[in-house]
Amino acid sequence: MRIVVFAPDESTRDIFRSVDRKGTVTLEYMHHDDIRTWVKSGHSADMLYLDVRELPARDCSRLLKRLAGSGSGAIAVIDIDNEIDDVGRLYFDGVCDYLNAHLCDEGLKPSRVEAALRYHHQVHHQPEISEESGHKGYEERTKKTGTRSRSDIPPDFPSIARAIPRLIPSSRDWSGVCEGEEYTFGLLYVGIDLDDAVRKDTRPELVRDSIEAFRSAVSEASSPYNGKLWFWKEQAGVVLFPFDGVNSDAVTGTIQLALRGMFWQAETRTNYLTEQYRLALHVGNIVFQQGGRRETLVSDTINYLFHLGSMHAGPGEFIATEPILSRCPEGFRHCFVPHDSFKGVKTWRMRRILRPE
Amino acid sequence: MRVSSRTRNLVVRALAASFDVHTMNQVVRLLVRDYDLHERTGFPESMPIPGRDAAKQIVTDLLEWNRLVELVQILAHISRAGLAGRPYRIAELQTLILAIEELGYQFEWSSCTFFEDSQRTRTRNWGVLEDGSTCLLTLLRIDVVGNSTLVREYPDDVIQRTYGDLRKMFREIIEERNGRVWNWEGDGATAAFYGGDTQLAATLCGFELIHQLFFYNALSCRLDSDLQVRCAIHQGPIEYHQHFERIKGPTMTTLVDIESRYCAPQAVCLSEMVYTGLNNALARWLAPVESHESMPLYQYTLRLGA
Repeated sequence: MRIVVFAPDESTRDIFRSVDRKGTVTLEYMHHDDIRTWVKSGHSADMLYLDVRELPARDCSRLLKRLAGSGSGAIAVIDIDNEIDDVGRLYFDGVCDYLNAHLCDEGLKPSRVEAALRYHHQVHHQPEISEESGHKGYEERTKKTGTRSRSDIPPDFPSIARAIPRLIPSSRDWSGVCEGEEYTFGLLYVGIDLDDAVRKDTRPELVRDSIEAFRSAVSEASSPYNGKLWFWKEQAGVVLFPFDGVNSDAVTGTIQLALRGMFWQAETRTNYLTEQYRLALHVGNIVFQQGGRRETLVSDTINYLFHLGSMHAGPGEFIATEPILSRCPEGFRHCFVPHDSFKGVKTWRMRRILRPE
Repeated sequence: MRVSSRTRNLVVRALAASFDVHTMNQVVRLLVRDYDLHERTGFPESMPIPGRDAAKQIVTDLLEWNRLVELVQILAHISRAGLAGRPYRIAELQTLILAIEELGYQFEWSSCTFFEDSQRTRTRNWGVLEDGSTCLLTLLRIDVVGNSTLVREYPDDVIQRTYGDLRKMFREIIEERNGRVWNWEGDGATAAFYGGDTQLAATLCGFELIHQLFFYNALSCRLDSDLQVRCAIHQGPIEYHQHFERIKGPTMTTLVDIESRYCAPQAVCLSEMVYTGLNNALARWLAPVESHESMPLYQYTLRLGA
């Protein structure tokens, strides 16, 4: 279990002494000032505790609503000095537990945390929105809008991180990845839509050089997001993004790749052959190997990824499966619309980048 | 500029081998209007000047006036386009260019122009624009949308840090494409582009800024709403001055006009001068903008559809 505490100083640590002793709990302490950035970066945790000392009532309410709306975790309030007059109001703002001065003195018990979580799941569980009504209304509201607003986020967007089977985290960068070991990675399929562009008289050297230039561009664009172009075969390849179990730069890095196309064309790094490409993002386990051994790698995960990219993603589209998209930073959630499932896994599509009519 | 004797001798040799004295004089007059070799060398009009002596005098004078780099640019131009309708082969031109590049410049063949090597130095004038000289530049101007409201609504430290982020982002984007940030006013800035395909470079910078703000607003912005800018790009003759306040004229006025009157928030607005210089790959992302005077404008916004 992951618990994050937002407090003005470190004096709250004492409250969590019993919880801290449990080996299965990770506790992190941050200042109030970091809440906005933390939420925007797409972080999440099982429980979030907000220490309301030094927070004016209006700021407190605003922060609670922001935390509740982001779906970053279940929220509880710590009120060491019994400052809050209307405790009931906190529950309207999405809170699932309240610790007054007496409870803080006694210290928080692990059983109390578990009870709060159970309550949160009972009370704040969102009912399923039917495919037809929910999606249609959303599509109408967001067609060709230029301004982001809360209503842009689809109602059933996976804002709570989905469990990943057989999770083997490494680190957010490559420092935690060793060759020959199995890890969970963000996996990105990048495929060039070459077939329609190649004509009978297109020189093979031009095709080869164009693909090479495209690969170089993809590698360069992925690198700032810890992406590594790991595997390439004919006109498609795989970019790996390390995953620390909670966060990855995979979604942000892929959105950047989706937007780079117009620059590559303008700078003639790509041409009419490599203008259109498709992206498919998933998460799964592979044994990380460098060099020639990749060519002989047999992996269900890679097979699924290639099918997702070549058969499910359309020309020029960016498709992401729900397990990886549930790690999407809050600020990008409005960029995606629901898409059909593929082999039992729900997928989402990035909204199209509009050109003038 | 400190030039080695090896480089001086190289220029002297190239001049003497490529031109007769009369033509040498013509070449220098492309830089210095009333240059007179007889007057400069002291040789009477009735006496012919030896070629090598003429070349030496020219190099000495141009070095003193800090115009040697321009001379080599002119020689490169003459090697491609000739002089007064006559073709010339410039001796040791490639070696000359390499020698100047060793001084911290990069040569661009398409425009036959030297620029300072941005990896080594980065000056406001690319190391080549003289104060008071007029040249064709592409300018890019940005302004923060709703600055007055933001300054009222947020504490000073939040504004300073946010605008600091914008400033860093802007500078990196501009300098990546060999532009120069000429002025930062707190809530806006002006950048310039010189040499090469400046219309493309400036436009890509504008697009890049809009895209980077898209990521910044999604991931890092401290404000409750998006940080937005207006971005205008225009090209025209500019009289260059070291101090930005002295840079005025119709080009600058039009640029400010485009940004303040016609540019939408979070958009890049180009004048026709810039638009017509773009390749189709970029031009198709721009839509015409209605403007009240007969000044065609084109605009790009990052929009996501269904």
